[in-house]
Amino acid sequence: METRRIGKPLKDNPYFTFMTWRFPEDEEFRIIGKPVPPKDYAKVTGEAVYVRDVKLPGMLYAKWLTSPYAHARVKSVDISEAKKLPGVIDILVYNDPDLYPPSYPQGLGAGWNIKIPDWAFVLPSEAVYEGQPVAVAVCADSPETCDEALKRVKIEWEMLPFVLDRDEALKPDAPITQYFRGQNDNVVRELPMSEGKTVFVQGDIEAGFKEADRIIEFEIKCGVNVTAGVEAYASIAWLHDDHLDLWIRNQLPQGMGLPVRFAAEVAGVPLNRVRVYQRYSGASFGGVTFLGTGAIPTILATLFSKRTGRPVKVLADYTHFSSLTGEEEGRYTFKVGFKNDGTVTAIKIRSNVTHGYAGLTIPGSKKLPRATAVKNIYCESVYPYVNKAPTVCYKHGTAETIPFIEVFNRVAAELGMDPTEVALKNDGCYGHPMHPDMDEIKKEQGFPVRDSLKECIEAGKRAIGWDEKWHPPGAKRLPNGKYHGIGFAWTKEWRAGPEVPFRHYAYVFFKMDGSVVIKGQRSIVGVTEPTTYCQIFAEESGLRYEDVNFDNQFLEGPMMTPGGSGGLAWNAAIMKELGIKTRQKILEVAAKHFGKKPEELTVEDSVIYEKANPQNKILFRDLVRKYFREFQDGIVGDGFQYVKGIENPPSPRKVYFWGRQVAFLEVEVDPETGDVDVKKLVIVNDVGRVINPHGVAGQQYGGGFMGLGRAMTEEIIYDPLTGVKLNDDLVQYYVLSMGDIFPVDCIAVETKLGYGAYGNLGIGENPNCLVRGVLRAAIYNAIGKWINEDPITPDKILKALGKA
Amino acid sequence: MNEKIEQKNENSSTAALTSTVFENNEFKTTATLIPITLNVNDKLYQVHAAPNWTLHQVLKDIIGIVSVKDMCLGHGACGSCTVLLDGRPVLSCLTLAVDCDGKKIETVEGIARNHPLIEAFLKHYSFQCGYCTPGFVMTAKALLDRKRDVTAEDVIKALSGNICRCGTYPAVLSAVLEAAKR
Repeated sequence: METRRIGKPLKDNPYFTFMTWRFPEDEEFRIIGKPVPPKDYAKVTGEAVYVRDVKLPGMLYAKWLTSPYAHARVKSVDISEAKKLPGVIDILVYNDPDLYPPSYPQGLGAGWNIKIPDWAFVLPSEAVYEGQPVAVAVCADSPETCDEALKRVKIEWEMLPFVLDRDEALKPDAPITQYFRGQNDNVVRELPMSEGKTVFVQGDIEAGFKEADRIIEFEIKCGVNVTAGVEAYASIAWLHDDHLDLWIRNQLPQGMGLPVRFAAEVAGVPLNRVRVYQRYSGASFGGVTFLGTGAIPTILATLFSKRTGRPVKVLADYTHFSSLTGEEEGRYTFKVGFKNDGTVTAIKIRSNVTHGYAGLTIPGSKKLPRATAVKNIYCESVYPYVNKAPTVCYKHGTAETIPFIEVFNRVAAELGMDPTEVALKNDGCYGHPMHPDMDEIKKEQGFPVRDSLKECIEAGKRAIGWDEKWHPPGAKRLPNGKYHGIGFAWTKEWRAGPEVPFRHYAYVFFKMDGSVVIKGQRSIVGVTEPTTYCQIFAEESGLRYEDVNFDNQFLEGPMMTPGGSGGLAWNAAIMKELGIKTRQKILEVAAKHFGKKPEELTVEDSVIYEKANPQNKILFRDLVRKYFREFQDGIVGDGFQYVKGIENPPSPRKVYFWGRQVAFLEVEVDPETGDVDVKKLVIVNDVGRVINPHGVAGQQYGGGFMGLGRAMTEEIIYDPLTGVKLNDDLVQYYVLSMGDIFPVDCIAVETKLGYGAYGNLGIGENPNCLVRGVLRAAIYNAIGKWINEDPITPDKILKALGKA
Repeated sequence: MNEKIEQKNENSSTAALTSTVFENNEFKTTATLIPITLNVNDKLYQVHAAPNWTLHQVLKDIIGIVSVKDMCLGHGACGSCTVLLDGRPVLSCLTLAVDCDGKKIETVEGIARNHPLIEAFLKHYSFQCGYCTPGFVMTAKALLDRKRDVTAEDVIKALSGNICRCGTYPAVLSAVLEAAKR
């Protein structure tokens, strides 16, 4: 069976094409997979209101003090001058009893679920990184008054020793980074996500090395990048009428993110008196808002509203820009054994990486066993605390994908083999090869027997022109004097199935005019989630897409949070269930109307008619009007029956990992300046099934630009003498702009190998993670030298070439 | 044009009529607000503004224009607060409001829903979280108002001051190129 290329470039745009690869006989949908008008059009027309835009009558503002030092303790605070400033309403100081609610759940501040005295992170007396919200917060009649009042706060600081380097932090005489934790070292010991273990073992690593023909060792280092350039934190709280109204810039206000629970506790109201509004929200990319410090503005706003009786808006200042760091920072040391045919026999990875969210995965421990046939794997990691801002995931997975990509590309380079061949040779799952072992399991579980990696590679090779362009490293000098390079990287899909064992919900309600609203609580942060949900619902229900709306402000319907990744797999299943149930309901009610059986009827484009006699029909609008009592109670769905597997127990079935993602990159490297000119990026994702083509492409090129920026230009520079950041704003910290655009080919491969509805897979994280590895590979192919330190800046390339 | 002038903050509280300025190495509160008239999206507003207030502050906090965003929080680095000042794109966070007295200001709210740029941005999904999008639309409008026969390179150059953390650049380019042909 042969894959077929369908689709066309979206526009005569030399910088962008999008296409899908699909079997010709795959079913066609009416709305799914088709471009439709976006539901969140207000983002373009300027009508979209974000939390930072909201103004309420009598609203006050609040801001917090940020630490000017990498590590310091507040000895005393004098707020007398600040209090005198006209317009200042209230000031909270770190030792205020209101900051000690009875039982904050763990996890606030430093990352997800790290066990710490959590009150300390709302307004602590000890700052453990520069820019940390610390000691004082001011509530006033304007943001400017808050700024001025904070300047008038007199603080006596006790400067404390700090450490920035993760290796230094582990030495016996290293400065203690966080005294309040009561430890005498900097080791993070609490790792609930990995059950407290920092070692992952599969097979027999020493036997694997003995089996190998060759062994290589190398090391990768990644610098600090930050979330930079998203809507800064903001929260509004209004405690009135025995209710707490919240406007939250948060990707997941309910459930894991916890700010609603925190705020309710602070306000002293039961959860049934909390209302949450969050129509639009600036980018979050996963963890930017729902982990760690994202809860602080909500708690402060609630506290101030409780104390002042007025709505209070808390605004982060520009330090928000770098208040969260990327997960990949750290050092990864590799030892890899392999046979002369490219078969990898043993992988040993020792890493010293960030704490916080990323510290909860041992780099290499998830993707390598789940997506390769390598039998012997040993991963060990430490996560020392340092005096840098907490880590979050944003377009998560880099700390896992870096080791994955590097292993196979280095083996290919050592052997002089085509890296795509090495990839295919080692592709598999849980130590078993992809063929024939996985083929049998695919059949058993009702999946098509397709080879995701092979299809992705085939599509990507054609797009980049791999067979004509790939050459030995350092072998192609262009007439313009630059070196030509081309690289390849691969990894598995972002998880195989939805990743959390608890359920999510959404509801459908019917209106008298025949319109329908889907209600659930989730932020609108990304590639037009409402559109995707409405497409699925309309497809399954038989109603018109334009008759369906998605209302994202319904706290009682907590939906899965990420937009284009595992969240889509689950939320698509919810929408599918809602759509199917709606169709059944419509047909049951219409059966009464027509005096027929439901199976004799059908619904299409919001018209219900008799199959045998299409002239016998009724508009859905008229049906609802006539039988409104039948529709009045709405429909609820959790999607559980349409999700084929849940990755974490309790899972209805053993989950395997079949979806693959690849990237190809073509560059030119100037040996005189070290500049890298990106000529073309090809991102190929097995998405299982495309729901919204723009949604897929958006994740692909979006991840491509963010990923290459993080890999090439983005790095926070710390002053080693003070621990203070030196390029702490968007002027000096270089995020790729429109001026840095390069041609991108986005290819969606449709294999239906995903566990989500329609066999779909999440891809929100992979493009960003892949491009870092493919950049390193392409530069190696150009200059014949590995650059082992990220970001890969011109000075490092010149150094590798012996010119600096 | 609507000739009726809307008075915005003339009768505000005393606190709103004060402003803080930095003089002789200290902050001083002053009440010297200057009356200015702004033509925002073909509507006239009379506003009392302190000399140090930015156009962004006045548009957002006094007049109530929500589309002017603040991604870089006033550093002039992201383009999300871009508006057209007498047809020229400016960063409203770095433009003093008093310098705009009597001038014509356009924001994305003033662009018709069926404007080719709006339609093209929607068609190509040239937005993700949307926080930077109004800035892209306004910068692109300034380009197309000036020149219709644009190349991809023209568009890239014109929009090179705009940052989208979601990375929507290829789709923005598609939209602007398409709008230019209509």
